[in-house]
Amino acid sequence: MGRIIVITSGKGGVGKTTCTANLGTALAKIGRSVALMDADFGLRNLDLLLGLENRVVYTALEVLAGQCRLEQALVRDKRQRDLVLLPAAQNRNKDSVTPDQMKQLAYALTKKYDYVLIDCPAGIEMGFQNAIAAADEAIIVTTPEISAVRDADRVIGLLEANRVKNVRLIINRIRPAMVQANDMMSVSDVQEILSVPLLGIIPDDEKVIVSTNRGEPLVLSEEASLSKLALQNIVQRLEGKEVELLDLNAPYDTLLARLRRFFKSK
Amino acid sequence: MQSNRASEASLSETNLPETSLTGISLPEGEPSEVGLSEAELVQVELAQVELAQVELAEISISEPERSHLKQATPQQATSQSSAALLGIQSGRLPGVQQAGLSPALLASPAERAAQGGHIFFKAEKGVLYLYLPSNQTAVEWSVIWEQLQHRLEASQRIWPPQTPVYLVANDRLLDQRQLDQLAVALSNAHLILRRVLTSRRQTAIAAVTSGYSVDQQLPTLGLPAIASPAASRVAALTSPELVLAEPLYLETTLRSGGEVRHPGSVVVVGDTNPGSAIIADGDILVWGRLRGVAHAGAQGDRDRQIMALQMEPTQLRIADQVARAPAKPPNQVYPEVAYTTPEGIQIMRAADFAKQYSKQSGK
Ligand SMILES: Nc1ncnc2c1ncn2[C@@H]1O[C@H](COP(=O)(O)OP(=O)(O)OP(=O)(O)O)[C@@H](O)[C@H]1O
Ligand SMILES: [Mg+2]
Repeated sequence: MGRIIVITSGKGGVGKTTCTANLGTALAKIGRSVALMDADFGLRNLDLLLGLENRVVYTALEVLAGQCRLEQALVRDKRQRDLVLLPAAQNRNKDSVTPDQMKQLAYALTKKYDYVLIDCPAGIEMGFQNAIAAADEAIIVTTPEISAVRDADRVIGLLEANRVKNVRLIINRIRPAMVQANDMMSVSDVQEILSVPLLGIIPDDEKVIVSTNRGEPLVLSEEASLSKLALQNIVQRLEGKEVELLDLNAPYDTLLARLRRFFKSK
Repeated sequence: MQSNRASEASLSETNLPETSLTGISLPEGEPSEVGLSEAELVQVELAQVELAQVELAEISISEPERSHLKQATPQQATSQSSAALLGIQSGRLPGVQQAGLSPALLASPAERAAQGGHIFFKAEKGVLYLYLPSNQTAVEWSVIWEQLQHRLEASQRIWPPQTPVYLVANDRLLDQRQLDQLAVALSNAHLILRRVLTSRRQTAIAAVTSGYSVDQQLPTLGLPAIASPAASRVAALTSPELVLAEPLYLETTLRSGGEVRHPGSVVVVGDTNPGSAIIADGDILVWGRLRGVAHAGAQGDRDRQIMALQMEPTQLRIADQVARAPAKPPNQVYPEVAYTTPEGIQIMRAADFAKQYSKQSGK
């Protein structure tokens, strides 16, 4: 039986889809079989990030309506044979699916795949309820901004109310230089409020945007980068391995900054 | 608390003249006025006018740094109190009435909860009564559901396993699916749904179909069952004190969007995060960080206090007073108490407050 993990945030545009695409790809790269479910009905773009848009024929809706079999709707990744995508319908709204139907789909996928990752839409309405219905685990994605953290907190509360117990946090788009200048919330600032275990931190990196636009997840790029390493570490932690948190400060470190940190921590 | 409940119970057995209750049919949507005689209504209105004038005269004051007060000894703090509000911006809350004036005073805790749109638990003789918000509050099922989940989670250790639950649904329409959801949620918390009390035919049918015992409530009474409204109303009239529910004890982190309302005091063992709110008719005690909104004495009782190990609230409210925390959080943290003075809400170190309070009150 595969694990069902929902990737959610509350606030929009913080990197849920980016994380889903990259974590799915990275898991497939280390040999796991992975199904990605796009739960963002009406605003799907997981297929775009994976560069699979032109292969989508059927969506979850046709499966639910009995117009095709589940296997037919799954889009196989062109690079990773063990990665498939169940696309969301583009032309219907979020209310066209129910939580029970989402469960049905996700449970069917767990029979064949080690991981079922669900890309949740922003907000806490029906689309959110659908996305979390089947999940046993949740990954909260937030950026180090007050509003994103506030929404993340709200979502964690809702997950608790819905008995999703295993909730972990990714802090995305950290800019170490800004944190050091006290212009951005630090990892511990965020953690202090959310108080859920940290799954990983990802620096703000324009390579992420470039890869998004290319439809090629960053974890597949040849080039080494901190953000790629960050995503790979997250996958290791998902697999239950202990990996130290990245030191995002390293490339920016100056003696002065180090001294300042030293005195601050006193 | 014990004594309150005892008096409520004994009153309900007395035969009371029900003149103000029977024969008056009131417009829907104004349940809080049910049973008030016309003379009483006029009194309430007059009193509110006076209050409104007082409100106008009050100006919010901005203050010296909170740290001053923190260092002040209790005596100094008292002498300063006319000027200083501990770095807090304080003011008056429109719409909240002072003690003794609120029509809601006349309702029992369960009624206040139902009219306030939140769920309410009450344990009595080995049975746990779960009150649902009145239909008139237009609170959606999903909201009730969320409240219930959080409450069950946070109160896990309080109710013994296998405690039977009587659901007091009142005028709320419940279908079978919702009843089953409730039963599952309760059984996850090791509680058993046994009986459904409802004034709605459809809910009764759904409950019977799902196999629960059903008590039909009289629709006109709104909230009968345990303490009849007439009895609790007279209890409130005869004693000037608000009848408080037993304190609500929650072991949880109260997160953004989470709101706890309780017709008594609230104890939270855990943090309350920005974006959360506790609204209590009694005191509020947070054994952790208080960062959200806290409103004590929400029915207008100014003698209520808000206590926290770490006081960093978005906003504090006691009765009709409001205070905003200083922009800068303090450097040191120690337990603090917020209380009211004629000038507004003040905060004091808990250690100092304890000294002063025991000296002054002598009660
Ligand atoms: N670590 C990062 N560094 C730089 N840009 C990033 C990073 N993570 C995400 N982005 C960019 O942020 C934008 C939003 O990302 P994404 O679509 O993954 O967010 P989302 O949470 O799925 O949004 P929505 O709520 O609309 O579904 C994209 O343009 C993406 O490239
Ligand atoms: Mg997205």
